[in-house]
Amino acid sequence: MKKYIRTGIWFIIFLIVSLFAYNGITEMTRLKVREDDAIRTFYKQEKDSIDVVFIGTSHVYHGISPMDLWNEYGMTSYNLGTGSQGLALSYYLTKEAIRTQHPSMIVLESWGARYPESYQTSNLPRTHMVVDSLPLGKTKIELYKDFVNQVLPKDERLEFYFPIIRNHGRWQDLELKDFKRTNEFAKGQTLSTGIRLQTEPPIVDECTELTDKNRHFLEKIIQLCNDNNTSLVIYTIPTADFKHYAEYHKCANSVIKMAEEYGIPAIDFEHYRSEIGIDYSLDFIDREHLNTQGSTKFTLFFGQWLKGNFEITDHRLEERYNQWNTDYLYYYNYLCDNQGIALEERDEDIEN
Amino acid sequence: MLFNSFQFLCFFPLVCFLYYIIPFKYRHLFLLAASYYFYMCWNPQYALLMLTSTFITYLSGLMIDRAEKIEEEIRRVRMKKLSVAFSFVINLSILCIFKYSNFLIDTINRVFSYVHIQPVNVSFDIILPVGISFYTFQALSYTVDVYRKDIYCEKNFFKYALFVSFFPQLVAGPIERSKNLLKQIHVKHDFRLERVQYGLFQMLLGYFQKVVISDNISVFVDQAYDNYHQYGSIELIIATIFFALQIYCDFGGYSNIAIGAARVMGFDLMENFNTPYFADSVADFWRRWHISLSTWFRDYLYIPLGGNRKGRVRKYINLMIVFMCSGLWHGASWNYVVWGAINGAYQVVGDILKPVKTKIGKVLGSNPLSFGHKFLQVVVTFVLVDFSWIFFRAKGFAHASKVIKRMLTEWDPWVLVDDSLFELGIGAKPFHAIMVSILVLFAFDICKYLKVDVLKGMCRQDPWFKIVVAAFFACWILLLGSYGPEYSAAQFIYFQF
Repeated sequence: MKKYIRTGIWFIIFLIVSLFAYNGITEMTRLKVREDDAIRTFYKQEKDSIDVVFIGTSHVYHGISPMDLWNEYGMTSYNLGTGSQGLALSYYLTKEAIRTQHPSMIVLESWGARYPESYQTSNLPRTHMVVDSLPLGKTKIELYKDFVNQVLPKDERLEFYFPIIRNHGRWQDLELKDFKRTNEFAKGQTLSTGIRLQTEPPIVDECTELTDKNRHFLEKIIQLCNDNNTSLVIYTIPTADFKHYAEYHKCANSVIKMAEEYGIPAIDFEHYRSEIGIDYSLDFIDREHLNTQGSTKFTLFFGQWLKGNFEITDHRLEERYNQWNTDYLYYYNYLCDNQGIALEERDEDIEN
Repeated sequence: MLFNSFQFLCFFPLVCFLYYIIPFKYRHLFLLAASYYFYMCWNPQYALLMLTSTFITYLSGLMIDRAEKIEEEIRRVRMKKLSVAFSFVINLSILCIFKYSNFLIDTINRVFSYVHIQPVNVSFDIILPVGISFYTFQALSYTVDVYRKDIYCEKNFFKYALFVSFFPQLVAGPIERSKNLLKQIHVKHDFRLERVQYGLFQMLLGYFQKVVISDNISVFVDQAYDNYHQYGSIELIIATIFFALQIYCDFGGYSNIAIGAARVMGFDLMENFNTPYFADSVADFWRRWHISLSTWFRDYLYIPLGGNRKGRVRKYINLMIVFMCSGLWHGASWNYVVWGAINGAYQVVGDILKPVKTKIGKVLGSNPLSFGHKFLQVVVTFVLVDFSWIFFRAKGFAHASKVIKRMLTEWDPWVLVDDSLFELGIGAKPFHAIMVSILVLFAFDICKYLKVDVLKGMCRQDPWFKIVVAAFFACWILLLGSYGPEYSAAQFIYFQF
């Protein structure tokens, strides 16, 4: 009997060591991209310290600056924008945001409606970045059940459960940033300081029919916010003139229209370009995304609109948020050290 | 189900757990069901073929057993021989149809084309059933063993069916003998920690060979052989040496996983590879390489043909027949036959030249017991064996000839220093990592050659040490192993936007 107990104890130790080892190499080989850093840093925020969470595509992570909102309005916010984020992933991220931070407001960007399938099955690496970054819990299990097990073909499922299958070859490309996170102070924003000359797109007022899947997930997000007494705001962020602009803007308009039908505050900032003061020769990093200069202009305008329409607490004088002041200094110094440099125009149209 | 699949990693622990908690009298039924499930994961219909082979050989055993009771000797012998023929004809026919039919038609058509006869326009759209060569030979060995009275006739069909289909060695050997495995099916195996640990370490070694070394270097070999016209001597020589390692780590690794898996459940399977590249002659190589197959051919073909008892010429003919059959067993193509013939010829020529070799050694004052002499023998044997692998790897005789020609004529030693070698599908870092892995295997094989059982030594270590070593090698396999979607840094480039 003693022998069996001893064997049992060593077996448990073996399992624990294996688990740690597996976790270690999974973590080491994981692709450290901005999505991943942003989502993981989100979980490191002090509990219930974030009042506003921004959800959406790459337009969000380029165009919303939580640090400017803090400095100007004392608003504690976090940017959970991820590349090519369809409305399905927006739903799961909203769910996680509410579960972990209980924010008073979720701010959803509308460009995500351009992905008709809601899930980005045609761009799995993007989906990987979000799914792999989420900690194992109710939301991730729901994502596995609804997406991995139902939407994906069988041969692509396993690597969502065990990311090492996909990433293990990265051992040969490991570098310092694989072991150290960067720019945590930016609260999820990607700090793109470069400048590329762009042109102003025409305003599009027409709508297109939302796909059933997008409508379904939008309804789920609305329901989720209602159930948790969280305000929901939907908006369209200004972009430059890119390929398919008109087509995609129609999708974004449909989201705004649907929000209005449900009585959700919604606003298309493409109609406020001059009020924001967007300069198409200075404020963009590429054809779709604002750079840091553009994001500061837009964020301050948006912040004022939020402040005017909702009650959002100013935390600047609270001792609990001292770290935010330090983070802002880092942010400010980063922008000073990385002055906007004019970049060459690129041919490719980044479709995020 | 492959050993290096996620499915197997779930299947195996579950089977082992259930195997040990099930009462002994039902264990064989459980293992039989698990083995058929294992096989049917690949193709459910082809399990019927295995069942047919099982049934025929089982029946032949019963027929031989019944024939034994016939008092009249002539009738008895005739009945026994008929039973063996019944088993061999049906089993080999199935093997021929599923493995060799297209090869036979192709060969006939080639002959026809030489004599200007209209070719036979038939082709069979047959998938080669996984493991058919292995289980057919294993089942046939039972018929002969019962005929020779080396083993009793198994009356329990399910136990016999388990002998044929035992999942660890079902698809890639070792080809077990009824004398060994069938008897073990009747024995109760209790859970013994030392055995389980040994088995698991052996499986880990097998995975290391297969997933880290074999599957990785195959990329280099494929690149060099498929595009041989782009490469010179050095690349092709390295690719050929790599192929020797690839095939050893592939077969040997799979065998280690099989033997280890069986050991975890208490079964002892025969050793299949015993440091083959440390052999000091081609004959010695064949005593160390794919031992279960070599001994099968020895016991069931070479000896019945007369072996070395009917004079020298007959011995040489028998050797050539055995090796050409062995080549054909490996694959339905003439290059395998050529590969077998080369190995047979090595042994015939080696035997003829033996006195000359001894005489030259004496004249040169060579000491046969010295390290230098032995080392030279090992190197020469490796070169000879590796040369024959070219015919095994190439897509045909013409392809092999072209590779050899380039290997001998396009001398390019500068590729050893200008990083060109890293452009054959394996980058510099993985290349070096594979080299380190090969060195680890080399060290392990040296210990084995010196009769030091590293795995046994490992099992005697403190538990914490065993855990750390196992975790370390598991991480090595997980990181450096070749599995999942092919890695390329380029696929991640667009992530940065």
